[in-house]
Amino acid sequence: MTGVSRRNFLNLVGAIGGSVALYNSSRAMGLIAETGPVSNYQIKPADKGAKKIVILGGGVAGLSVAYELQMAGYECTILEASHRIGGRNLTVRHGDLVDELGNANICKFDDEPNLYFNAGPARIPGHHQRLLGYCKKFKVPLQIKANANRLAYIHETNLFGGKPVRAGEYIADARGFMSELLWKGGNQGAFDEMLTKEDVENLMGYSRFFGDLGLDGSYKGTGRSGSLNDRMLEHVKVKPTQDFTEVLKSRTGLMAALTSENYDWGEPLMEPVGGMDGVVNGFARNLDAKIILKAQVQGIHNKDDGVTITYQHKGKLHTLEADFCFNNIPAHFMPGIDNNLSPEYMAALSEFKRGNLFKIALQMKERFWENEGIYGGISFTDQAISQIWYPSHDINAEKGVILGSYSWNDDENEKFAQMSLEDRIKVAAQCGDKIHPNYSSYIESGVSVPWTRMNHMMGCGAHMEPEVQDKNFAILQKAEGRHFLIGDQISQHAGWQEGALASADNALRVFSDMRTQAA
Amino acid sequence: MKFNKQLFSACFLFAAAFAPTEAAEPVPEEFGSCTVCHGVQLKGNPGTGAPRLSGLQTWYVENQLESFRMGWRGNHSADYTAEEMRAVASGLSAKQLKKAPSYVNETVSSLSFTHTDGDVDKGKALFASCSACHGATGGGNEALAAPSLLVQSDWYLEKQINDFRNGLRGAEKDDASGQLMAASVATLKTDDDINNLMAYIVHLQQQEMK
Repeated sequence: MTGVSRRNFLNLVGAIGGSVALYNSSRAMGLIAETGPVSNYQIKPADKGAKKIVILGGGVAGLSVAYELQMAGYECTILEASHRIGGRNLTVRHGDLVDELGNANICKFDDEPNLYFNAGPARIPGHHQRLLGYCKKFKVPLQIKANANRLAYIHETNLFGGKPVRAGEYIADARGFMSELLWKGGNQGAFDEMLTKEDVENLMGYSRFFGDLGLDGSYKGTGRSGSLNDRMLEHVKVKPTQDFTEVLKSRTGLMAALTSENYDWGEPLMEPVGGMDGVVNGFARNLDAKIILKAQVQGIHNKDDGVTITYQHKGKLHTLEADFCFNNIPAHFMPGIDNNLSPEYMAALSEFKRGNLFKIALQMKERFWENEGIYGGISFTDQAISQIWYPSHDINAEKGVILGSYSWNDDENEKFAQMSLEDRIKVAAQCGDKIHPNYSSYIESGVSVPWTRMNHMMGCGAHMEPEVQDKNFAILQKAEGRHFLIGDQISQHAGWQEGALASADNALRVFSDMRTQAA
Repeated sequence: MKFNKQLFSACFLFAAAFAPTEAAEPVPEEFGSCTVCHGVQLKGNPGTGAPRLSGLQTWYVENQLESFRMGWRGNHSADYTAEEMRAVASGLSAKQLKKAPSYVNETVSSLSFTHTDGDVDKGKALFASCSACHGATGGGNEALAAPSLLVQSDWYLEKQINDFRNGLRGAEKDDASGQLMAASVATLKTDDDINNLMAYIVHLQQQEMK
């Protein structure tokens, strides 16, 4: 069978989902090694010559390093430049500061605990065992978060009459038509040279069920798409199918069809009850580390027997001497910070590009989507907003916060970044109106987070050109003197907390090996 | 920003001479966010695309902040970083605007170089037309609104020349000096020209330091 080669499939997914999707699919298809089990190495305990640790940046990687080292008897200090810990694990609620450079604003959502917005990471698959392990350890309650939803929509400006189509309808049609082709190919002997007669018979049988074909192998719609009538009282009256040519053209349809196929989006997904920052609060409850907020690092200098950190806090410069340093600062800031790291190391760091992911969340005065049968999940559109996420929690409540835009298109994200908050809401509203009737009339307030403009972040989704990444990661995933770089940036999973935790895990392993060898 | 690794290394070798730290003075609280992108002592950061500001002339800083606020700079959707600066400049308070030029001018940082492989002599010939406004040694001329070229990192000067060439800067109708500069860079025909010119400007910067 050579019709759809594995390579072609990967190219297709790559074209739509970007490199992260490609990586994830590759892993799901067994081309790349699985995330290993959570490491079980023992961190060498603190002693006289190795006791004081400084952690630069209170993001998820930094918090986990602090926790693990604390357990092994080290004294940790976390220097965090912004007004809060958590990094891009950011849940925005009523009254919270959205610290966008040049456009700082306060969240105007109602003062209600279930009206929140996870501006950074927002979903956890079952195989992110490091993160789920911490949730368990810190008793962070989790709930199921719907990601794919067959009753959510796909919407294409120039396909299907510009009208939203239920994802399930599209998926059923796509499978039906594909299956019809397979069945007919089998029936006409197209696979006779590749397959045995028995294989062909099985393929045709499989296709019939896979696509819900008629006995003659044709696809004429299916009850899997729903029904034109009340299917509780009457026999299902099958909906007419979409046009096959349009089905093949629809990239949003393909996204909807593949959502659950992506290894990191495989159902069921989870989220902490009450907001993703439940993870950060879990760390905070269990950390003894000294955490200094609004402490901006100005210098990092390795010495033979330690590390000197210079930082500014409350208008004064301070110097902190530590035995080791774990650096969670976004790599693109490093050339602006004084340091004596080697030229090779700084050259490797300089290859990072800033990602510009953008999200907007809208408080809706009614949960109108639930009246359309949508409870959680994602609608996909070819418009600037790309996605609409519906909340899985607080079903049947009066109000809800939906994610009104989340795109992987750099140009679209940059356009949003260049708008005022009001204009961002306006564009999100206009796009939403094409999918849900009167969408804009439900909007009460909006919050946006353009990560490329967030103070002390200036980016999300750090990446390197694939051809230089391996070489540079080999340098950056090792110790540089007594300095260890951490963060999702040096994982293969930028933008995921599990990537950040894996980087911390790796750094601690290197640290422990280094200390064991020195002993 | 794409870097040639060897050149980048050279730049850091130079900077290393200034170790351990340049952060001799704390940043005034009202300018804390400047150093997020522009780096310690506003030394500039190619990672964020933010230029070196240390030592820029006060009149030029004033002038550029006004340009950003008026939308003469940072008003081209393809220039992501200038758009970022426009948002920041637009949000500055009257007090910040008043104090920024002298703060910027008084910061002290090392100047790093990336352009060490161009032809200095060819660059010198090209510089002849620059010197009319920017001065024979590149020190700038306030009367002509031409800033000093001796305080700016070459990677950023190169980007600005390309931005002027490509209509990302100097294309707004009310930006007279920007338009003049956009017309002037037409003398630079090729990337080699720019590389050679940068090598000569770096040469001037090194002369200045002696």
